[in-house]
Amino acid sequence: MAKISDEHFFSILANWASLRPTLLQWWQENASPALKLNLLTQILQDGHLVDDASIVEIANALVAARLPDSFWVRGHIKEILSGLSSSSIWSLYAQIWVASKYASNDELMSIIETKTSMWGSNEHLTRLVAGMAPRFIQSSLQQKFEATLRRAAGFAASSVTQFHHELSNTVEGYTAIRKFIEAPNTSLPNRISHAKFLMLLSLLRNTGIAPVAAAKLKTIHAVALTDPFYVHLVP
Amino acid sequence: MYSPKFPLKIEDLRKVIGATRLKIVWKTQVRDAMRKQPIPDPLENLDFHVRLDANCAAIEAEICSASYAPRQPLRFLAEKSKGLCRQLVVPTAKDALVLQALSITIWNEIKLQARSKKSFYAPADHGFSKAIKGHTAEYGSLSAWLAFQQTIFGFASTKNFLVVTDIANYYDFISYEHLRNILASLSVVKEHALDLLIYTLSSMLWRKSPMNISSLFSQTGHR
Repeated sequence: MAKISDEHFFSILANWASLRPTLLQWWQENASPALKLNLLTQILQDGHLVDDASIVEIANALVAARLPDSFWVRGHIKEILSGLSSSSIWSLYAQIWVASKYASNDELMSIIETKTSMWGSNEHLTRLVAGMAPRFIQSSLQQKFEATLRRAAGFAASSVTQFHHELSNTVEGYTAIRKFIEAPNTSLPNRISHAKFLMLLSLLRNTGIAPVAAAKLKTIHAVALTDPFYVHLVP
Repeated sequence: MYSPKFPLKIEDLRKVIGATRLKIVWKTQVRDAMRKQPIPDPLENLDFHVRLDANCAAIEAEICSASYAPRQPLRFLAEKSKGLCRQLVVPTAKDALVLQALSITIWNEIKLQARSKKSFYAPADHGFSKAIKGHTAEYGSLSAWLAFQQTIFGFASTKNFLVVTDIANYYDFISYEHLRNILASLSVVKEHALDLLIYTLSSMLWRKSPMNISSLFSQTGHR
């Protein structure tokens, strides 16, 4: 894989908007993505990004990458999360998306609780927040999460909530998406998209699924299940 | 409430947005396109997909009972270059499906009216782009491009100057009313399909909020 200096990496990211998706794809597939994490932190904070799409693209790259669980990485993720907590809808979207992989349940719940007026009035953000259900299933925060959703979310959340409920509680829920969930996303570092991983989390909490089927899912997604930050989330 | 002749139009509309057709359009085009949007959906719209039969039947019923109303689309800014941004609009999965079904119907008829067989409107219209499943259509190799240019302009040799034009911004200024009149004048499209398309697109137009309008008035002294 080609090498790109820090200087060039930052320059392309800052000044070549059309190359950002390609560069971020290169970054997430890089053998050591953590080495350039400071540059992503920097660009999210220094005002170079003037659009919403770039912020969400960086959030997408962050959740797709396999980052080591180190003091350096945790420090930068914390900085990124605090830097994203602005009043912009898409900053909040990116913040919740990044937190859904890297933050603790308490931290994720805190973001959701403090920003209810923002996500509750936006259909897409409401879907995103409802999509965090697998992080709270069978945890001490499940009731609080569900109560917050009931209070703040409109009908947009119901389809997502019902979907995750079926995945985590019924065999039919698993059967309906079996082909989809068993197909690996071979172009991604973890061979699974983050959205699909959250669905996998719901399925792995479903005690109704045959142990053989659950074991098969774990085998198919073995790479993802060794991601240092996914390891903490898997039951 | 709808016009007295609305029931007469329903059968034609069903051919365009009937549940069976919507299912095909979703599976062949819209589902994949929605997954490629810059703002990811937390379920990759799988909740829509697993209930596809019911969702498509519901859309057909809504349109045929004149109760269909598009939802608020996603709006976000994407930088083009040098800090200049373009506002992008992404409809919900349901609205994208309706738009695509209408668009295919109208496009299939309009493209037959092209003035020249050398008119190409998208990379996929010509063999120089290689379609890869799951990826956006992209331009092909240089030699494929030269072959394409030979087809259109009749030359493929090197020139001293290359003029590049961009008419993308032009589309933002096309009035829907004008567009509708032109399409209708081609006499190729069932007008109620065209009406539904314009109605759906119009619902997605960006409008100033009442708050903005009142602040505008207060600044200019008009109340």
